[in-house]
Amino acid sequence: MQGHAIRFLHWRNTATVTATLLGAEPNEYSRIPRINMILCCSNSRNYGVVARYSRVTRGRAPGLQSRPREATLVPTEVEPLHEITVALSLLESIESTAAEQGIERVNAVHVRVGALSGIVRDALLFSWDVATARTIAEGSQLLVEEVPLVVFCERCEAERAPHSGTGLLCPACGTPSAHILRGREMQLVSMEVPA
Amino acid sequence: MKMRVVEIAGNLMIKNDALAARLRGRFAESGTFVVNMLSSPGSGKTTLLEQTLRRLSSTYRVGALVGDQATANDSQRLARSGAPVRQITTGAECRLDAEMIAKALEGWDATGLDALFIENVGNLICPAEYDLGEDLRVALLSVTEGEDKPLKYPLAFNSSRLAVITKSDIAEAVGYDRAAARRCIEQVNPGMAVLELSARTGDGMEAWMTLIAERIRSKAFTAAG
Ligand SMILES: Nc1nc2c(ncn2[C@@H]2O[C@H](COP(=O)(O)OP(=O)(O)OP(=O)(O)O)[C@@H](O)[C@H]2O)c(=O)[nH]1
Ligand SMILES: [Mg+2]
Ligand SMILES: [Zn+2]
Repeated sequence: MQGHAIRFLHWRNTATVTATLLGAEPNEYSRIPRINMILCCSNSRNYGVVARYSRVTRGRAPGLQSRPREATLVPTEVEPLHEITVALSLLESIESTAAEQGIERVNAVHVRVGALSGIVRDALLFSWDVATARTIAEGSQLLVEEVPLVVFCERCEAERAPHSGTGLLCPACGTPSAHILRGREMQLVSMEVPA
Repeated sequence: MKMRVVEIAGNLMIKNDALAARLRGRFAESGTFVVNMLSSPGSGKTTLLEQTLRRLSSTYRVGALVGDQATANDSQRLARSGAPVRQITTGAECRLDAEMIAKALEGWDATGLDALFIENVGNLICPAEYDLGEDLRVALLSVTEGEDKPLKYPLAFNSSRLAVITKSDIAEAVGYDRAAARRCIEQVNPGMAVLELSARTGDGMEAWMTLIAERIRSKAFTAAG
């Protein structure tokens, strides 16, 4: 995304779009000459993607110079976009570690994400780019290690990996297990910075 | 360019879990029973809470916190029950976290309450990750939304102690398959307690009210002891 990054945007009601510029005060909105992207995020299931887009483009954020007419809507399958929240908290952790250690630039970030965390990899990668624009991690690579779900089956007395969509059923004996060993991870592992 | 790797000890939940533990300690001292209600949008959290607050408030001091991304509609609905209610507008966030709860409690002596109900943002993904310091996490599932919801959102149901099937009054009309729903719940949380009710007609509400009242009393008893 070139230049003017709107890091997050959501709407407050059907008529008004409210831009939430992280780190920016509402009166700074007017400095944004153009919006390149709208990230739609809503927990309402009642709106179709098209309806959402038209509502968003009809609305106007307070102080915004232009309506986001030329904006590209990036609809998300996951409602609301869980990954943007995750990307922002990742960024927050990274920024605080970087500040402590006097790091000014981050090139890559390694994270571990469990199958049960509800995080969609592509959506996270996308959110990462949006969240890190104009930060020390702008343009950085996010390396996602996906951790499959593993439970302990009491009946088999063994670790088992349930098939996706079958809950916590042991694939060997069919017994459900409440004991999750792995798959809930949402961890920052490390970051690569200039030496 | 030469690179170096900086390790980050970072479970993203560490901060939240620490705050939640602090909240839990506060509520243990005051004997306030805390319920965290999770569901998809529109499964009936507010409707059930309206009835619950109304019925409890003659006997207990009860209050509610309501998380909503944008509107104050739910808190206004709940406030009509006469119980103290605070709204948490989460904006961009799709769930409540312990910090939001702590903030919302500032300047409000919620520790004077016998029970605090927290309506989470309608969403079964993100809220499941966040401990709010609650005693009881309830996952609601309405008869209209598909019996296999628990399989799609296993963590929400796995991390909850109780499943409440809502809108039972229209179960027949929508062809709700009770056995299938139970099976799916069992697959993600074996032995999970399940209640079925309609906040609209009041059907099945007694079991829910009894359970809540018992938990309120036992929490107060533990705190007093
Ligand atoms: N038939 C029937 N409808 C119900 C029942 N409970 C809730 N509803 C309806 O379902 C819709 C959503 O109910 P709410 O209580 O607002 O649901 P919610 O989970 O609080 O919704 P959000 O806060 O938006 O996630 C409303 O139109 C309610 O009237 C019930 O027991 N029976
Ligand atoms: Mg509600
Ligand atoms: Zn087995």
